[in-house]
Amino acid sequence: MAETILSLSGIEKHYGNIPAAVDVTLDVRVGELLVLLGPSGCGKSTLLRLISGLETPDQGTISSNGRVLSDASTLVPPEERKISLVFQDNALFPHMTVCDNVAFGLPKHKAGARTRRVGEVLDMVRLADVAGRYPHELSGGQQQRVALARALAPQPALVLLDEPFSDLDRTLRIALRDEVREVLKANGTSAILVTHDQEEALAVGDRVAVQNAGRIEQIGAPEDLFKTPASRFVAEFVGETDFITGEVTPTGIRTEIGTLDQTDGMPVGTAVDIAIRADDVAITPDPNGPGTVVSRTFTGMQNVYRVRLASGAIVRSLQPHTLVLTEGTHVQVRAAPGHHLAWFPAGAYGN
Amino acid sequence: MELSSSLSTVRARRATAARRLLWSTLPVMVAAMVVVPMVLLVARLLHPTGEVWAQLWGTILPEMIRNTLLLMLGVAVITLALGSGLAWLVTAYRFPGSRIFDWALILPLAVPTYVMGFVYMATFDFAGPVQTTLRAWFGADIALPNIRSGGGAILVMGLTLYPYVYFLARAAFREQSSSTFDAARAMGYTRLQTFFRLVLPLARPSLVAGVTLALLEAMTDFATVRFFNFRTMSEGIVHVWQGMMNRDAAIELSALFLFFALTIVIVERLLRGRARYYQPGRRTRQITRVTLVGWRKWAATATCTAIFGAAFLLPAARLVSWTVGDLSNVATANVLKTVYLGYVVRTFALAATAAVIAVLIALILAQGTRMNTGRFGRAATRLATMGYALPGAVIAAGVLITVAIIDRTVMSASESLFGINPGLLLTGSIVGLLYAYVVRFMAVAYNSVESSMVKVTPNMEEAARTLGATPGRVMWRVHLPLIKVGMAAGAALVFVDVMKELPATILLAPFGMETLSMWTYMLAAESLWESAALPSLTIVIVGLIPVMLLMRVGRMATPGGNQ
Amino acid sequence: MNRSIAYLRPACRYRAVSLAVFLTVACGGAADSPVVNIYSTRHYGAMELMYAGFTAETGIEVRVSHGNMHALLERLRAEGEHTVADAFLAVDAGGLWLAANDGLLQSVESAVLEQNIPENLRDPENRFFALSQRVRSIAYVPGRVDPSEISTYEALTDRKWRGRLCLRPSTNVYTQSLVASLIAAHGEARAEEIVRGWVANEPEYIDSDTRILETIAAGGCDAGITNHYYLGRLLKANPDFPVKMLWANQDGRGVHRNVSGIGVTAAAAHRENAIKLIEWLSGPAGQAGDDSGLPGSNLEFPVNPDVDPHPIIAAFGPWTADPMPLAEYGRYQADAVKLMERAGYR
Repeated sequence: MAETILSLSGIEKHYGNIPAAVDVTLDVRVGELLVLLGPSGCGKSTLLRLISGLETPDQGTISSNGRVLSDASTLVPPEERKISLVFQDNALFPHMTVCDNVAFGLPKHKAGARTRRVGEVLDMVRLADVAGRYPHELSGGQQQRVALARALAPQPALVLLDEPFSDLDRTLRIALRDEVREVLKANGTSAILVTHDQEEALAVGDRVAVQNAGRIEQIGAPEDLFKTPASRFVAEFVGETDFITGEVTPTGIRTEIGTLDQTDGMPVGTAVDIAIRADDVAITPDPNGPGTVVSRTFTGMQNVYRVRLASGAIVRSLQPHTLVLTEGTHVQVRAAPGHHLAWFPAGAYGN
Repeated sequence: MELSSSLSTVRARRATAARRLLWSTLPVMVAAMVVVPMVLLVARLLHPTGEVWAQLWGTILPEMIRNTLLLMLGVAVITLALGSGLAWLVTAYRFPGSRIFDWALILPLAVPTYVMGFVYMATFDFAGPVQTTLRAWFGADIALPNIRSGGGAILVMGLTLYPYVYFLARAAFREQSSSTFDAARAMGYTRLQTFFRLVLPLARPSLVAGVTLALLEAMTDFATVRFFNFRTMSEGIVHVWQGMMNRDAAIELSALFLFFALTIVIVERLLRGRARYYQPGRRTRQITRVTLVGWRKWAATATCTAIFGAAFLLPAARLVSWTVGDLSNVATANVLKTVYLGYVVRTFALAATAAVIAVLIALILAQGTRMNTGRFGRAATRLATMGYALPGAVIAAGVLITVAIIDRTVMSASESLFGINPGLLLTGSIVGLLYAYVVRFMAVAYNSVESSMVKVTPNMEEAARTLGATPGRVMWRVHLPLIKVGMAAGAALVFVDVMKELPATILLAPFGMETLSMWTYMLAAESLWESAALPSLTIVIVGLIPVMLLMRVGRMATPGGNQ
Repeated sequence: MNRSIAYLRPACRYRAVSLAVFLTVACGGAADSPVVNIYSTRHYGAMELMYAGFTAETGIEVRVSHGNMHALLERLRAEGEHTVADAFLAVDAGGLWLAANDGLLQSVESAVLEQNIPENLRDPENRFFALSQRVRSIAYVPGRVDPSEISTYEALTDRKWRGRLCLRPSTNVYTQSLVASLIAAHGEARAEEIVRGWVANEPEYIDSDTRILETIAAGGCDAGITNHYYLGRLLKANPDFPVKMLWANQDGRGVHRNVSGIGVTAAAAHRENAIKLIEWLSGPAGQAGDDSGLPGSNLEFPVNPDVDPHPIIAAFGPWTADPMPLAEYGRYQADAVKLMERAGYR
């Protein structure tokens, strides 16, 4: 079991009737990049602000390295927490050069040490050549890298990144997120990154925590979230998932696109919703088939088809780029997962 | 180890709580300081003086109200038309002299309306040089419309106050990106149509703010309208107070006046709408200037020259020639030599002190409002900036009462505690005058500081905190450098306003603290125009320095403007 | 950088100034320094030179705070017994009476003053003393107007003056005093009729005596009411100035005469110095009819009968004044303002 750098237990924060954090308990391990994933307004940014000390929790304990940062009797102000924060809008100081921005968190360093440290972190983000420029003279990606360098300079125990890439365009976003991950890993810095983009979460996170309406619904490795979502919300939010209804029979769960070879110990007759993804669905053209092609999205290597079933439900199916069907084509549809599928009690939302 | 860490965290929690308390109470305390004189004044309303009031309603009050409304309407129309029109001309077009007019057109801001008033009076009335010349050329029957009228007062105020609109409109036009403008052009609108359909509506908050400033100044003026025989409510307050010797009735009139002022301020807020909290956008390309050709370019030059000539060159030239005439008179020149420097130094010192105090208090208010978003704090701030809508005479009266109460309290306390009577410490001292200035011009300082505070996003503050900076260091390293330009602009504006201020100065200036504006007014009221010229000219020239500073600030505050 | 220093410097110097002011204010009551503090509404006619003459002779420094009359009165009232002012100098008898009536001035026993200033130019209780006389009368251009038609204030109500008069607005204290004198002479009802008569003639209201005279000269109107010394000033600058002054009501009660005068404040800390100043101002040096004296420098008539007026105004000829006591001016002033409002006088 790896050592813990930050632990939250029973954190509550409400704004009037709006829950921002509900019974949040989680640990961040040393050197880990934990991604906090959730739709906008779910409370993930608030959680960052609680951790950094910019907001005060209603209840619960936050501690770092065994030191209590915030509980019923204690409140360490943000400047004493050694936790730095990177904002979506980068929040660079416009009147300071890149160099001065990065040096801002090092007031107690001697001049020589400060210069050295600024040089180190700017090298790390490959921006040593723009040290003398002002923020507005840099591109969006460069600005965000400066913000990261500024956050890393004081060697914080933990770096918090609040949607750091969402103001950038897609290509830049992907390049930068990989770079940020590398820098954090090379530095051995523990970090929490907040995002609403599930692809980004799965790509960079060592572990991902999914938050909904203030509550953490699941924490785990990206693969675990994908394979075994703990809630219908997680299943929907992580990995593009469709739902079809099914009924448990002695031989498996029967659906309108075939019977799945799993009963999971449920009594015969139980109605369930099954989470099924595009790679679990096979289609073949057949003029008498019950399914109808609604649309095709060409992604290069593959075609993703949306197919309407007889019941009206829509599922997606991943097919090689060689299979081209026009809209309205009738098809046979078959569930072919080859692995266990997650299911949830029929109709019930949430858990 | 554990004990010491928990102790330090407890201390930290206390410090945070104390800081929060400080920042939530400080603005309220400051606001109270500003509001108390007004409250004490209004409290006097509880004993209404029926008789004078009835006489006023029966005689001059309806006329005063009508004139005030006329004045406001006229000034609004003139300043809006001149301010936005000229600003568009210099922002969107290139023509001979356009670069000079760009900054020159704001210079009339340095000419106080009462100076402009007496210059126009002396130049354009029946006995003035213009009409005299016309009669010499065309015979005795030729006559211009009587300048000594509401029309004259409105014209003069429009000419001196349009720079408020011009300055803000110009900045707003420059902030607009060329892409929205070009988009409209692409949809088939001409430049002029685009101006009316897109540019003006987008600049509405700035235009409204500018017109409001002009209106409040026009409303609170009493000297200029008096020169022009145009009775407005603020003239009426002074008249009732001094002519009818009824301070209580004057104060009641002030309350009615307050209603007008409040209406303007509320209308302004409504018109500004949500646009109030604009986010400084990304750097955008400005609207491309078009070079005018043919008669259009000369028409543009002629328009700007005419306005600049009427609003600045004419008064400046007349003041200079009067001053030269006055200085060539040996007797008066001797007097001037002995007193002039003293007036300048005093006025300067007074204006600078008031400017610094006002800006510092504005800083506290602005920061307090940011840190503490409570409704109470906001209301306090709004109240604290109401002084701009009140005539100086009313504020002076409030300050007089307040200061007298403080003095009496201090005196009795000191006598009962130490047996020493310190006398009146504040009454008749510089404190009362500075107090009145700060109350009167708080809004000017506050608006500058607050609008520059917008540049410091909450994220910047928070980023600084998480990088280990205490709130004090954040203020010093992040806020101050970013808002110092706004602070300088606010200080400059307060400086000019104090220098021009008349009624409160007359009522409160202590021994030996006479200012240039008092000197000017007293001489001008005696129609000793030649002698009034030197102090007026000094006010104008000194006023130019902050106006130029303001132009530089405006240029810097404009994205891409400092290249 | 340099700029910020330039901005700072006056502020620093100012601190010294305000400290000095503060100390004077704070210690004013106890100190016995040779000084006299004046609240003055008289800000023309080289007063500084006159004070310098007094200081040279007596070693007493004169400090002056100028202001509008009502503002200074307001301040005297607010400051009460703690006022720094030792004397109150006003250019209108009404203002002096108001101050005296509010108990802001004290009686002064001085043989010198009684000798220098005739009884009718002093307050009966010696709370204030006139220092110069100004006459408010009718100005015209000979040739355009027959002087016999405008020999009284009342005559200006005649319809033939419709559109031909230039008058000063009611906000001006000189106008207020003139109307007060009408009330004193005729009673309120008749005075209102007279004022209504002026109003019916649709005068041009000009808030400046000089400008009234210049407008008459330029032909903008044919007659107007002004103080005599404004004409004196214009004649001094231009001996050919075409306007003449006529002494009104010489066959009746006499022309309206006002005064500028001075009184010792009730709470004067430097009472003796203040009396010395008033004695000096009413003596031959202070009263001089030329540029060195208080009346002379402003072309007013001296109060001291031993002193001759300036030749320019002496040429206007002798006059008899309305015998209305000085105290009456103030008594009717507020009534005069209300009367003018009722009558529609601007």
